Amino acid sequence: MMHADHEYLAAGYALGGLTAEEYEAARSLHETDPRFRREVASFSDTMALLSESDDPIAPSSDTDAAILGIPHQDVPGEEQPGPAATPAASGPRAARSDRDRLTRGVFALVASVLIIVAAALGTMLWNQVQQAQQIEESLTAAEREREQMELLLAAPDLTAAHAESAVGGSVSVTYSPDAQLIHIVPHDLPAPADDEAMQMWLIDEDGPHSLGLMSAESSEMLSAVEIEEGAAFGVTVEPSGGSAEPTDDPIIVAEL
Amino acid sequence: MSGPHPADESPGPSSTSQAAVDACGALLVRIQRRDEQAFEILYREHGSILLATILRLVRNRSLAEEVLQDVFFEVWNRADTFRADAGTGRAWLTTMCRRRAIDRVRSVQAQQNRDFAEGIKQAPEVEPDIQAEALNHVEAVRLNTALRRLPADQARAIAMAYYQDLSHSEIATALDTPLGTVKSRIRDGMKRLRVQLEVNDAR
Repeated sequence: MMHADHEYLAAGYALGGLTAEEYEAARSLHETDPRFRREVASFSDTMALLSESDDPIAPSSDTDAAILGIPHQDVPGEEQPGPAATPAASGPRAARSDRDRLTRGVFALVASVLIIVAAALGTMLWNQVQQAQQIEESLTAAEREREQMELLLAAPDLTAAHAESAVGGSVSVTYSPDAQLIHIVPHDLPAPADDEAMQMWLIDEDGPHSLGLMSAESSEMLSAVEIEEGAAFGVTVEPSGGSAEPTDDPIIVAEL
Repeated sequence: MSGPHPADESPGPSSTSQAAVDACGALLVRIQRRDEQAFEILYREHGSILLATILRLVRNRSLAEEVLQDVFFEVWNRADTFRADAGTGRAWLTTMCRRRAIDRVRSVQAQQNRDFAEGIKQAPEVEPDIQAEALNHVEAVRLNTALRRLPADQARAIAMAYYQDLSHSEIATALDTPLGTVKSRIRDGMKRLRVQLEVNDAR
């Protein structure tokens, strides 16, 4: 039987989580000790079999196409040599003719134009990629909120409260302690001053807990909020950026 | 990340006889010779389960599919680093998936941290909640049939190391357990897991 320390190192080498020193010791053993290498291989196989207990998930058709196309892609480092990599012509040459110089001049001009066009296209492409990323992030956020809204609306303990604001307007608070979700909709709330912000709080026996800032115009979905029995939702006006603790009386309090 | 790196495997003699009993390894040997048909078969036969493995780690479907593409790109271009005498083809693929997935998780996490630092400077600082992470691992344990058969403390330690790449000392802290005990659980759990899954270590 293998030494217990070596067994541990072999297990950790396959599994992960070793310290740098342990990893180095394991790597050294792996290089020099065939028995240790077999032990690591065996544990690695174990982890591979472990992952087989997951239910398979079929990749999307886009991923199928991308992966099956890999053998036909150009591999970095294997491209055909470009003009810059073309070896110098062998042997001395006679002086270039005027035609050669003219040709080189035309090529230089074309190359300059191509560089400018490539730069412009590159900028456009970069902008498009940025826009696409922003759209994707927005869609992801919208999808998440839609899923949370579905969860909230389907919650058996769904409850709604309405509270008037001391400074005008009101908010609707829809919540589910089971789903740990709170949805806030402002109605005609006056916008805070430029150097102020409206901050939401969950107030329970332990005091107020910040739920973040809110806008006077748009709704908010708050997730993973643990709503205790007898808790209240409150809004205060705080200095811009919010506060760690409320600094003034709430303008809105809704009993939950 | 620790653990054997596919490219770190020490070169050894290519073992055709072992590859013959390891179908996945045999495909990798063919891919070393740029056999496109073998590449397609490998993907068709193993892509779905590898995607599940990656998804367990990155927990985001589109990210997981990106990682799967990276893995198969590496399979096609670096199949020569596979050595049949250093483990099965499945182990080689799984190790690569795990390494790529954890790299991607860290990259995304770093970006999120930068966004957090840039965008929400006014928010109160949040300490990393290792207990919550531990609970995530409990979920991973619960979901996994093979791990579920282990004693819970061994399964939890293995899941925390494997699925979230926590160091053993981080696991000890999260579970409020001495480091030596965690090491024993990892070693004993891995051995028990190997027996359960009937890995043939008489290679």
